[in-house]
Amino acid sequence: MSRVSQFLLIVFCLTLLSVLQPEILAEENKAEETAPVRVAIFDFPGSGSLGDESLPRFLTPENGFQCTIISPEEIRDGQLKNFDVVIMPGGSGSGQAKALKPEGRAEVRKFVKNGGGYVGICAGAYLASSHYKWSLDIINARVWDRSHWNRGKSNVTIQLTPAGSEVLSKSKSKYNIYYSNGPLLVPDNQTDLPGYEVLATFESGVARNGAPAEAMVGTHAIIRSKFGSGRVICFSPHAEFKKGPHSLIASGVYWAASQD
Amino acid sequence: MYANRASLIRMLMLLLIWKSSPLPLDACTTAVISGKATVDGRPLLWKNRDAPARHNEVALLTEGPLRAVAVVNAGSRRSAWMGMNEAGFCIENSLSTDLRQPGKKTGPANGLLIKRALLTCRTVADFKRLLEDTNQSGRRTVANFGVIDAQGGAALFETGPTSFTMFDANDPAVAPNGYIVRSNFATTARDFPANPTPEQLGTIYSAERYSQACSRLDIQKSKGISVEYVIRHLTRDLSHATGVPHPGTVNNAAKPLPATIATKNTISRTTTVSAAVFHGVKPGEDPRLATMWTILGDPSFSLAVPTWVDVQSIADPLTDENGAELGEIAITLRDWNKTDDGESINTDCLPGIWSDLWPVEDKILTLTNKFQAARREHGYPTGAVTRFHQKMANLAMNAMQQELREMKQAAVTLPAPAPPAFAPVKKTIVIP
Repeated sequence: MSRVSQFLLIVFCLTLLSVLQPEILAEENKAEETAPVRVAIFDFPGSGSLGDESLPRFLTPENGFQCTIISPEEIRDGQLKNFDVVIMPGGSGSGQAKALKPEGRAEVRKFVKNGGGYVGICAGAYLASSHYKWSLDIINARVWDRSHWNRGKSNVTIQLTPAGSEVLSKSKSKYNIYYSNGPLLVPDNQTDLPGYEVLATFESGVARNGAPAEAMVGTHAIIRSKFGSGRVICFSPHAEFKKGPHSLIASGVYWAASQD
Repeated sequence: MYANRASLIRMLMLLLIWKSSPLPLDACTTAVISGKATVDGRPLLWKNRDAPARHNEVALLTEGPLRAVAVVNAGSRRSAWMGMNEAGFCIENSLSTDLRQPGKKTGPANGLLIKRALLTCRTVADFKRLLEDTNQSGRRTVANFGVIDAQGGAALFETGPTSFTMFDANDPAVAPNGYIVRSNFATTARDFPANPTPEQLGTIYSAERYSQACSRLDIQKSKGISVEYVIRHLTRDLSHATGVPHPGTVNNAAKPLPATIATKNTISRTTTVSAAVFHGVKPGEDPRLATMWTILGDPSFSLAVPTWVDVQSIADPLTDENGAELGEIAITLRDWNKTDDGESINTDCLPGIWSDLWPVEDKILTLTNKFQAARREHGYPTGAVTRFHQKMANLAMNAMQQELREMKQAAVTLPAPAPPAFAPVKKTIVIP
């Protein structure tokens, strides 16, 4: 083949590739946009959680999610493999741990370690922490002032960090949000876990039932990290409740379900 | 039939366990110190309260006949756990389950009897009469009650449901050093002498705390025991089970602290929820000069604040139906420094806490000494006493709040492993 022929062949191939590539990428995007995130919402009788009702209201197929309620038995049975992300909602962290039993807790850890996403909300954040003998130890976080864990329920203000804005909301950085005895998260220094990144801090606090007035402000409200190949995000307040902001939870679930 | 028999056996077993077990949560360490043993001739009374009721507050008891001030469970005025009244009568207790008697008992239990004594007794003799009366009508008490009064009286009463034994701290035959220490045993229930030695106590429950308190007082007796000494060196004692104070603690300041200190059996311990040191008056002095120094929370993480019975109201940091804020901060500080099993404390932060708090307490003690001297000389109206009480409480509260801020900041900025690298975020989802 002459040099001219070789040159023409290369030009032809490049032209063909440039024509085809947008269509290939479009197909990938289409697949990504059309395949909903498969979300397992943990619940069981007596859980005290409203997450099974509040989360499916906005984690809808229209918004890119497919929600299924999952029981402790199903988790112990290995059913998390059918999902992209598990949400441990409100209720009681120790109650969730008790319902899961050691086998269920091991399944959750295995799921996240192998690339699954974990979203902890309030009780689910307590559960994810590395502070309690019953906790999952999947995020390097302790709970500040746990003696006053029942500090009360009220709307509080949280401030997103720059990382929080990138992950959860590009439009707004300060939110009024419902808080209900969630963990005041601070770093732990477990050497077998990576640290976490702060996505939001409490700018105001609740101090009922004897809780010291200044204990809450400045502690961490939303944090993220990885456990093995999986992503972990913990929300202390309840962005999933009626007045939201639901976007924070939806974006957090989407982030946790994504893989690096 | 079989079910009934099984239930009966279970109940009997539970009863047996309940009868024979110490109750580590309801405990306390106490001392009655006569004026003969103190540096200024005024009697002292001390209690470290170990109880499951963690949230405590200071309350005025005004339903009379006598006005009193006491440490109570937060939000409750039914019982009192240590206090003093306008006659200068002061009282505390330590639980002593070995004084229990078989059968169901009725009448006032420990806290209720303390409250009744505060509202009605002017002297140690009055309290003795109250016990004599209730010997007949019945009590549910199983406690060692320590009392002092404004006439120089200082005594301890080992008190069961229908009988009691008095130990006079002014009687050299009973208290050769002028003080009587009790933790959670009664000498009368165990055939011990009035001041048993550690060897005589053997391994009974609370023997360590008793021995440690005796040891701390014995060390000081030649110099005279002061209110400052009891506040700093007894309420905060952290000693090894052998009785040797841990290096770096209030009673052994010369050496560095160990990394952790087991606090299951120390005087300042896992279950200590408050402490009080009563500084009585000399015979002839105005009984309203008697001072209740209250430490809310574990004394190792808190500050002593003076209160007098004629204050018009208790200062805000010391009172709240959910737990006085000063004490609640102490709970937060202790909680953050305890080990995961809850049985010990990590000592990393203790030097910092103590170097911040003790100078403030020293200042409160110095200012109070001056104030009391001026009161003795000139007499002050209740408004002035109230204002001074509030000022001291605010001094303590400001120091505790600052400590809370610093501890929180340390917690939030703890050096931790670095976060992992995250891939750029693909998108956020906006839900209207």
